[in-house]
Amino acid sequence: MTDAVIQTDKLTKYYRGQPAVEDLSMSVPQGSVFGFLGRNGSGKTTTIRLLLGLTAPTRGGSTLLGHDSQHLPPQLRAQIGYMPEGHPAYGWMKAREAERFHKSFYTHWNGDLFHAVLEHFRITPNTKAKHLSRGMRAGLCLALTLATEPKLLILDDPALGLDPVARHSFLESMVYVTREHNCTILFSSHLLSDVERVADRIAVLDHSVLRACCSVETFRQQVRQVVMRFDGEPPALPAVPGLLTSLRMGNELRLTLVNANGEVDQAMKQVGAASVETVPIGLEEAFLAYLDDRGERTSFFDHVGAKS
Amino acid sequence: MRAIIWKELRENVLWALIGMVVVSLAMVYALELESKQGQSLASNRFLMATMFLGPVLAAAIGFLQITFDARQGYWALLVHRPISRSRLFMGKVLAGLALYFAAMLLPFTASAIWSAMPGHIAGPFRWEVALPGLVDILTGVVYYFAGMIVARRAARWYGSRGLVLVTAIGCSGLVVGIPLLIGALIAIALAGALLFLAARGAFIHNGEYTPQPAPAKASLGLVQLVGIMLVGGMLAAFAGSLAVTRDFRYKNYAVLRDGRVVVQQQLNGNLVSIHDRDGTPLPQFDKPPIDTDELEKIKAPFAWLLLAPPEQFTGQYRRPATAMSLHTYRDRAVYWYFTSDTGRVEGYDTVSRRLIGSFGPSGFVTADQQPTDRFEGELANRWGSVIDGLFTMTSGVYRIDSLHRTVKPVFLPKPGEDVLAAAPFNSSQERRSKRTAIVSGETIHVLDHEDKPLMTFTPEYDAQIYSRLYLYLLDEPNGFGLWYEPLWRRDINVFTLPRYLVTYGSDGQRLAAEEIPAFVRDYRGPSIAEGMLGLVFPPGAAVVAASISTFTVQGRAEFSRMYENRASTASLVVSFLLSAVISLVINLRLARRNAMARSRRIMWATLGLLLGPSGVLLMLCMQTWPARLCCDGCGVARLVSRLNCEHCGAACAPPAPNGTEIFD
Repeated sequence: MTDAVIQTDKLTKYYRGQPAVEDLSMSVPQGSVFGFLGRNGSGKTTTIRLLLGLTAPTRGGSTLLGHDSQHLPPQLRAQIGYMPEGHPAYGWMKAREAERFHKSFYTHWNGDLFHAVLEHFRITPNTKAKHLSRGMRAGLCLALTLATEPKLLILDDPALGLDPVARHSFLESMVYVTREHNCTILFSSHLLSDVERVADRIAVLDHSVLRACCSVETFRQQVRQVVMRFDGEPPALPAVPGLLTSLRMGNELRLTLVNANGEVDQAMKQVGAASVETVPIGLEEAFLAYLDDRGERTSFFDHVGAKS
Repeated sequence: MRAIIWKELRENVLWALIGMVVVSLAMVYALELESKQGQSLASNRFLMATMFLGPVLAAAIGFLQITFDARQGYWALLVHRPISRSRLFMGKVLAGLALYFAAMLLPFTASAIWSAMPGHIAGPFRWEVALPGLVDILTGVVYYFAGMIVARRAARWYGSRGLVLVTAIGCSGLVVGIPLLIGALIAIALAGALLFLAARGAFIHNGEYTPQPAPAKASLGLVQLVGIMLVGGMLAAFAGSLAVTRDFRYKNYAVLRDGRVVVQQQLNGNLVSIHDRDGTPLPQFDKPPIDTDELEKIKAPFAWLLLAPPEQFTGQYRRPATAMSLHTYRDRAVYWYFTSDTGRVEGYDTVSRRLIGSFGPSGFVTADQQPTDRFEGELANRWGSVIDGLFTMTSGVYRIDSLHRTVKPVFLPKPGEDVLAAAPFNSSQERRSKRTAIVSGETIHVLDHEDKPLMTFTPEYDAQIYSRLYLYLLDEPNGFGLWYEPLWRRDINVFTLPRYLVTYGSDGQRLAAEEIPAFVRDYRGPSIAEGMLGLVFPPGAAVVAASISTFTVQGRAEFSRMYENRASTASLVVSFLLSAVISLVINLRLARRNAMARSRRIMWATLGLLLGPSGVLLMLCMQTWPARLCCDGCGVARLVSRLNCEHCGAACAPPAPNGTEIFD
């Protein structure tokens, strides 16, 4: 690991008395692809806006490339590529007009890269942005962002609303840039498969609080699933540290746990299960369990069965 | 910055075009109606377009420029460009103002060119008439910045966001009210500079108040304060007006033919009593209703001579004095104007709208003839220079018969003397009333119905103060009564100075003089409206009002008279003080509650004391109010914006771990 490109210190933002981001302290190492995860309203976009100085924090602070986020000088902004949520592009601008507009602000502009990305997304330069499909518009935004060859790329939910093909193209372009230019990327997403494919580190926000900040591998190791089978109705569970979800399916109790240790194993033994089996869990499933509402639930099919 | 200017022009040109079409239609409509009356760019209808549509368009462009970019992703896209926000703002402003001025000035210039072309306006055209409209268009700049602030400021829509527009409207009122062009330009420059700084601060700091620099905060504060005070003043005046009587009582003096001075009393515009100065009703008018025709028969005919110096009417840019309308109802086919640069009375045909000819001292010449002379000097006064064909210049009095195209000199002053006023007597029923009174230098001349000198006398009065003269025709004694009273001026108290009636015989011999006291208003302490205003703006406003009042003698007299009523003064002072102290306490508590620094506490407390409820509202409008949470250390609510509790100093507790944390 090298120096941190992004560093936050107790970063907090309140909107009308409600916390949007609370006490967020994390760092993003240089050259990493950092996935920023969380459910809707968990505070991902607010964090990105705070990082870029687009809104002022209620307390705490952050630095980008060593500078205070609230006072980023224009020269530094030139080194930070940012793609806001929703792929905003001025609808009346043609792709080449958009290039001319954005290019005028930068001293460094890779026109070849811009046109290569356009070509990749099959965008003709004379097409107005408002006439582009959602995927193409995302491609245009990405081309405009990548053409500056930034040191740091911040993408706010870049794959939102894209079909699988467009998403694939998009990630492909992103990965290309990372490899070619040793760029640090921070991107937020709901799409776990995308994160799994490109990210090497992740941060997870849950209800405005940072709950995880680690490598993908660490995350995968720390979340595990245990299936407990009982002879009869599964009993009520005692308090299990690190329990994310528990699902009752007939005589079976399926637990998803995080940071499981000896204390947890001890607690499970006391329940009196006929068998306890640790089953492999994919990253996507681990994410889903991690981001899902905590607590016990019953299988949907059990409900159906009960009614019939 | 060129790129941002190009983007803004391209994005907002449609709105500017729509605005230009609306403004053009309004101007065409106004010119169509006003050109028949010989009016053009300075007419009220035309100025409606510049005074109302200009600000609406400017505010709309400013608002839309920000609103389109304020959509979340677009705002981030724009402000993340590697260019300072200050330059981004300037780019927007340059483009927005360019569009606004283009939308206003193109139709305005076209209107001016059209008006200047012969045959379009039934009257003379001078470029000075464009000034009021141009000033109105310039006022739009203030609205442009106000529109930007409304769109960008992080405040509640139903709260303080719109206040800046009220301030802009106040600026418009000031511009219209200030007679001098330089004064109007200074008002626009001051308001424009304040709103520019406030808009720039809001733009650069995403509409948030706290991170703004002091000049931007101060500008926004001033702008907001003016808005609050205007709204508060209007509400207070309205609330006060609901509680006061609607009856309008008025009394004035009248001079009868027998030389007596009587008092007429009116209630809501109706004459209700006529009595002598001792209060004894006149026998024939002792019971209402009063027969006004009968009253007119016993009142003395008079000539009204207003000695307003010409300079009193010059320099008012909203009333360009390049041409003085002189037309009378007797000659409907032609409009007559005195133009100061030609020194002649010019006639314009109302159908062809072209010059038909002009009058000079030696007579009338048609438009195709070259005039050889001009009326020297200036118009004696702008209100009464032409009455029944009597045309009064400082160089002489002439009788112009526009129907028969003749000019006859009536009176020429002695060399070195100026004619100050001339007027016919107001009754044409009697032959002897068809006389003319002329004030030339210090002398009053009376001419008979054939304009032959009848009488001359030199009254003794201070013409600097007593500039309003009435010359009455009296039966007993058979002569004249000269009534003189002060004309309103900033440095004299017209309400308390006495009036005088001096009678003269038909030979000009001074017979008697009588001092008539002014009607001192029956002051019964501050009205409810004044009290309400005092509650809205205690003592700061009271101090300002008092200091303004003490600049004038009149103000001093009025103010001191107001405080003669001790009981009312006491209640006024108590209400002022109470309101101020309550406001101070509220501001202090708010400041302490939000753990403000000592200097800011003092500032807000002082503003509460000086501005009263306006100061409290200002604080509520300006400040951001962070949420409060219960402190884990001391249990008291603390601000979420501070790293440490303001009460016990304990650090903010981080969110409680729930056992699912994964950190490496």
